[in-house]
Amino acid sequence: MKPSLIFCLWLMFSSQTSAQIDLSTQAFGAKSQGLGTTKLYHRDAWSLANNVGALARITESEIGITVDQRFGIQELSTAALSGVFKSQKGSIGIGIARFGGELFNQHRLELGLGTTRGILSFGLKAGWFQTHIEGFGTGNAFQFSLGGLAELGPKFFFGTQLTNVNQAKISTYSSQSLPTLLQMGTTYLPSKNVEIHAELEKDLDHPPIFKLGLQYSLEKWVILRTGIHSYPTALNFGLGLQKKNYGLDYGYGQNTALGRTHHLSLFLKR
Amino acid sequence: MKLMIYLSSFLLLALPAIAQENTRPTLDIQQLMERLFPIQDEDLDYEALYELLLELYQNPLDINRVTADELLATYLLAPTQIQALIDHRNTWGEFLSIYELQSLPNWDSTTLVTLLPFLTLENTTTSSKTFFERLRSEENNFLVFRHRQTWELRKGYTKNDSTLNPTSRYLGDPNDLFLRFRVQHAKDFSMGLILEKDAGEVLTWDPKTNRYGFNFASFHFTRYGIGKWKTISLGDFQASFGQGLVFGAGFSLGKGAETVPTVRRSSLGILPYTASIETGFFRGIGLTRKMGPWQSSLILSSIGKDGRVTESSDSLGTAPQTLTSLSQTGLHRSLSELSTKNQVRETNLGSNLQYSAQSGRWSAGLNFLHTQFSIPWIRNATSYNAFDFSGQSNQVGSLYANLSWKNFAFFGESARSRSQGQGTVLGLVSSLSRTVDFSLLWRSYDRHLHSLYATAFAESTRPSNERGVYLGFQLKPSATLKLNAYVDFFTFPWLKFRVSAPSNGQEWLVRWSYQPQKTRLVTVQFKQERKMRNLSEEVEYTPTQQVGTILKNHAQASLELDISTELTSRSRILWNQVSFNQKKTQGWMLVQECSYSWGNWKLIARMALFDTDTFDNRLYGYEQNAVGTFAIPAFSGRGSRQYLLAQYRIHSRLTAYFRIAQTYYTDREVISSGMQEISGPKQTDTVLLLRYALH
Repeated sequence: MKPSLIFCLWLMFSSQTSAQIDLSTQAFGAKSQGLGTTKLYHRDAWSLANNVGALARITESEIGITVDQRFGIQELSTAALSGVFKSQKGSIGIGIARFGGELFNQHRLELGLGTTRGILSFGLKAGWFQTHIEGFGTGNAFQFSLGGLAELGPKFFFGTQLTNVNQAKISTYSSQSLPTLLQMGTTYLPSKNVEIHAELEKDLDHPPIFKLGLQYSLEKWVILRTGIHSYPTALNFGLGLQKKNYGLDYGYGQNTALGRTHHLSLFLKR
Repeated sequence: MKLMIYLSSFLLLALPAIAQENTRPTLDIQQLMERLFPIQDEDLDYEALYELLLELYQNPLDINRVTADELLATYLLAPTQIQALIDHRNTWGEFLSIYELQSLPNWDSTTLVTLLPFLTLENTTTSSKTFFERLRSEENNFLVFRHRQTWELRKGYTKNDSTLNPTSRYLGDPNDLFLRFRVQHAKDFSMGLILEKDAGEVLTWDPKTNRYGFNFASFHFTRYGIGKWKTISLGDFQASFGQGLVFGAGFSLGKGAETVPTVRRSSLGILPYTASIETGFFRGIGLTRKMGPWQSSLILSSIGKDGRVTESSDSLGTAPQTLTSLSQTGLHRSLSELSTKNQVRETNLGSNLQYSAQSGRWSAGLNFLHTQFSIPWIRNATSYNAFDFSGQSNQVGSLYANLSWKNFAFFGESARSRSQGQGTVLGLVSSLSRTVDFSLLWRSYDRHLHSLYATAFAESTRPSNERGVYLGFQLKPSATLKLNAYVDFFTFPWLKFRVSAPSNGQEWLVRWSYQPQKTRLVTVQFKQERKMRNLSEEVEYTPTQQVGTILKNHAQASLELDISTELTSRSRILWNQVSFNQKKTQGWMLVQECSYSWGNWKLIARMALFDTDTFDNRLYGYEQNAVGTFAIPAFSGRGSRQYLLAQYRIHSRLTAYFRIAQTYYTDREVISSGMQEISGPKQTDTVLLLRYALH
């Protein structure tokens, strides 16, 4: 009884708020969460999970952990660990994430590579995806994703990502697919301390989501963020604090119908 | 934020005049307003706004004394620019010339030119002449006479017949008359008189019905800077302190096309009341005394208000009177409307104490307002007004503060009323960089917050029963391009009129303007509003009531073209779509306007066609009118709207305005309803205004 209830709850949430919660669609890292869940431009430990195309744009190797707490429901929380490493030829990233509670949970292990050619950076990642429902069993799937980030000018970037290219199913025995997404967006950098992001994300099965994010560096070590996105409509705020090679980010989401979400990330750079 | 470069061409022409003493460039306030608030909205009171901007302009700011708060009130400057000015003054001392401003960081000639009409360097010179000599010799004085009329016969003016309630028939004639006298000198004095008779009212002297000639009369006499008294105002006045939670001065800007600066309000203090709207001001004495950094104000007001009074008998057989509703219209055309005139006396006792830091960087203050009605105000009970004000007196107090820090201007006010209801508004306005401006405002107003003169930022008409967050954004990537956007999220914890459940909503706007040359301006704008409304027409709560979402999309594109210095053209396309209860309806309006000026003449002609499916699709069109006259008509149905406005300077002292406007409907044989009904598909209105300068 109870597992099926949780499963129903998950189906409900996954259909209504897929962009928020599901491991393959959610934005990783409190920075992205504070910026209206925009994903395509950010160059940090979460580049692997958010847009593998930006992976090659990282300036330093970095590892990060993040936790997401949603609407006060333990079963909807996420925890993830990710590391990105820079080398001469390109960047490599590895990450692990868990979503859910005891009765329903998902795990994902990802590995990605990224490189830059001229104005274009691009990358490829492969993920192993496990869905576990207590009493129903466990399903496994592999999914592949592609991403790119192009520098159109010193102030303009364009990013795009295709998630779950192979349209993998939750398991070989299930007819339910993992989300297939196509995202596009631009970033405009009007000055050294301001970033503006605008993105559109289309899930195969859902209406498009429009996202906007605004970041302002008050000081080099204090960063303020805000953003909005549609479907479901939510407003985000974020704060980033960083010292030379470590720091933390906090993200806050306000959804009029469902409640509040909190996101906290820590990172270490080398 | 450094908006209105459009105006610069106009102002540049006036620039050489600055060299002469006592001559500042003139500013076309009507034009300024239309640029500041191009989104037509029934909530926005253009006349009040016009009078306020006029007041600001006529009392220019002394750049060696001005505070950050006062500079923000012009809505023309970014916080970084204000900070630069104040820093410069604190470091280097007083400015010697207004043109020094040009050298400040983040200031440019465009900003300066735009701002020039609001600035001065003059020290308040104590003239050797006595006050009465100054009053007599003052050049800034004028007399205005205005006549307005609708030429088609409205039902209210027809002969009485048995089918109609005789008490609702209009007593007077359809002439609308307005007379104004005003004389003033910046930072010295202001005196004004307004007399008005609305259409359908009678010019009569009848103390029994509280009629003394003109139906509405307003007078003010204000002196500035007499010793330590900053302002002494007698007669009609308004007060504006903090964010408007207690003293709102009758206007609110809030959401508009200018998405960043207008969310913040400035403490403008006590202002003479110069509009002809018959509610929302104080009548009595308003005083402000300045003692170093401290400033204290006192407000004493007693005014008769219109309202519906009923007598209810109680068990003792006595019949205490109660007020069931206050009337806001100021119309007294029929016996029925006349019976509401001056039915209740409202007495107000208000005070303000404000401290402004010497550095000009921060200020804080306290407000208090006590309101007493001569008879208790007991509304007819409905579920949606269950928490509204009720009783014979109200007290409301608040605490507010402004702080300017780096490139941020923070502001906030928190109020509490006698009912224990609380309300708070907090926000910031900032220039994140030279090209990006940003504002953020959070508000939370209890459903039982009672503040009778409040006009703080809110989606509702009053700051009550609301919580919300507003984000405003402006991007100016180049001198020719500008992008404005805002998004506002709000929830209403209690029921509202036509919404029988706690509800929420969102609204967002994007406006893009492109001005390749000073003579060409293209704007494109999209706005979406999502709110909730009862599916049935019922306004009151019933247990079976269902609430649905109403989604309104509104788009607008316009082109302003100055073909030559004499000839200008304005084209505008408006479109909207309303989705409600599984129905989609649309509205369209196309507007073409041309103006031509030569010699002492100026002619403006407009033709507009509109076609809307329902009343919810109605479209507003800002229209040119005689100076100081405003009407933002809403159009629904199908038809055409045209007007011709002529302005002629008869001689240096006398200017005449004449406007004839007509609306012609092709989808109906009857316009309007009730006593306002016109049988026939067209309505013609005229305005004749004469403005005479006495010196």
